[in-house]
Amino acid sequence: MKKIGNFSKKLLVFAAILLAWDLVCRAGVWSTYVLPPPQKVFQTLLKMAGSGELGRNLLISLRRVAEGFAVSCLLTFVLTAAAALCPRIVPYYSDLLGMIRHIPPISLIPLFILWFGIGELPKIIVIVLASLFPVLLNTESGIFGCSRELTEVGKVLGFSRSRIFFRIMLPNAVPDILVGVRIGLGYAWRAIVGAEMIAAASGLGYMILDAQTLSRTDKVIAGVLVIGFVGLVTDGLCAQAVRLASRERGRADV
Amino acid sequence: MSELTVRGLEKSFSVNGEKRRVLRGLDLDADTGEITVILGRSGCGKTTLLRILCGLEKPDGGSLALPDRSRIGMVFQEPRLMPWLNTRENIGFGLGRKNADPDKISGLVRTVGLEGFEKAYPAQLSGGMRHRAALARALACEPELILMDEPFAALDYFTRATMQRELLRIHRERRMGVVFVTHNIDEAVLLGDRICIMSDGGISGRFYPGPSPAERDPLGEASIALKRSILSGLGNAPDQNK
Repeated sequence: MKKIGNFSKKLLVFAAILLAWDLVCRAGVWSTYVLPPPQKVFQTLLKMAGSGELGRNLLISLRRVAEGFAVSCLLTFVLTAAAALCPRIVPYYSDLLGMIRHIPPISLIPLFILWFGIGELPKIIVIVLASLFPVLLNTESGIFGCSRELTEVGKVLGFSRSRIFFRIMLPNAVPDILVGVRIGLGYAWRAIVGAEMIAAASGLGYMILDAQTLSRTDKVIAGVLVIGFVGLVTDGLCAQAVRLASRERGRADV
Repeated sequence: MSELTVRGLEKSFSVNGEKRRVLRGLDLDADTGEITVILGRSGCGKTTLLRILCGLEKPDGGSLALPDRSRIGMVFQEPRLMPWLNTRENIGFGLGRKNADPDKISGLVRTVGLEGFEKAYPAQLSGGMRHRAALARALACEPELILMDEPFAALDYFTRATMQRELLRIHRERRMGVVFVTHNIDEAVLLGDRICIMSDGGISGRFYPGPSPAERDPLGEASIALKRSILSGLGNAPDQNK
């Protein structure tokens, strides 16, 4: 018997859910307001894509994630490089970061609205808070998990501390950093949609909430599907990057 | 003129709060262009001595006269290659980007016999090949003195024999000083211009095998006799000076 390919397996599950969805709608279990049929949702999706509403909001959300995530990566680089090159300064900020890490970013939104209004800044801050820690913690574990065997090679070759950081510790940590990026991007994506639902006039989260107030369940479901799909695609790209970085190290199974 | 002079070297480590003296007033000389083998059982302080010589540990006392650190190369017990760099990049690792002359790297690749594996990553190399690459990385900095810490201990008999021959050949070509640490008496007899027996944190015996390693017959009478006296030296540690 021919083996089923991975892609077919994935497709099969989606097809089954779609079929069940369709059957339930045809049987009229729930009203079309609670659960619109799949055909209706896809028509709405196409219409939203055609009118530019979907693309515009998607781009706004993606831009916010990109900006906030870039800040997270920059902060991570600065914090880890500082910790590696000058370990004495770590106690100044380690507990502060530990505290911030445990505050859910969404819970800060009321405060941000009060302080910064509903502009772009509070959303960027939410994304930074959501994505900084997975990136930072994974980067740190990669950098400081560097075996002494390798850093000693640098010392014997007469490398300075910063040269050991840039030529040994940093490249050695690339697979861990990419894992952090993968998790952090996922967190950022979830956080931005949440933030846009609370205080925004644009973005996917806003689009969904707006559709709900207009009783357009089909638009809500279409929006949710787009969020999930975009997340799947970005995560797949990250996973591919992790695989590429690990392959040359003979750890293709990562 | 000795290029390496060590006098009264002291080093202690505390293990579980207990102080252990690893080196107790160790004296050592190594000459330019010679292979000095330091032979001793595991845990006698051989690795600590090398780590002090290459600057990874600070001695508690004693004096050291060595070439400049930049003129000392180190080959560890493990190859310690950078897993994200290919063979060429690993060999040139110690050179700055500016100094990494491609012809020089190619020459080193030939010297250690890694032609055809220039683009391979460490995970794709065999154990012996990795050790060759590690040796080439140390040679790339053109050291006056190369320190080797049981570099072939993890290799099988055949690969080890090949690597020992290669080391002698490279040593003949480049005439750098080598301090070679091992616990293998056969290896010591095969490679050493001078064999120092290390025990109890000091050098307890010195042997000068005579003919250069290249002309030595490892299975000949002289080698057997040398091995015998080293073995008895390991037992009651006489100082058999020249």
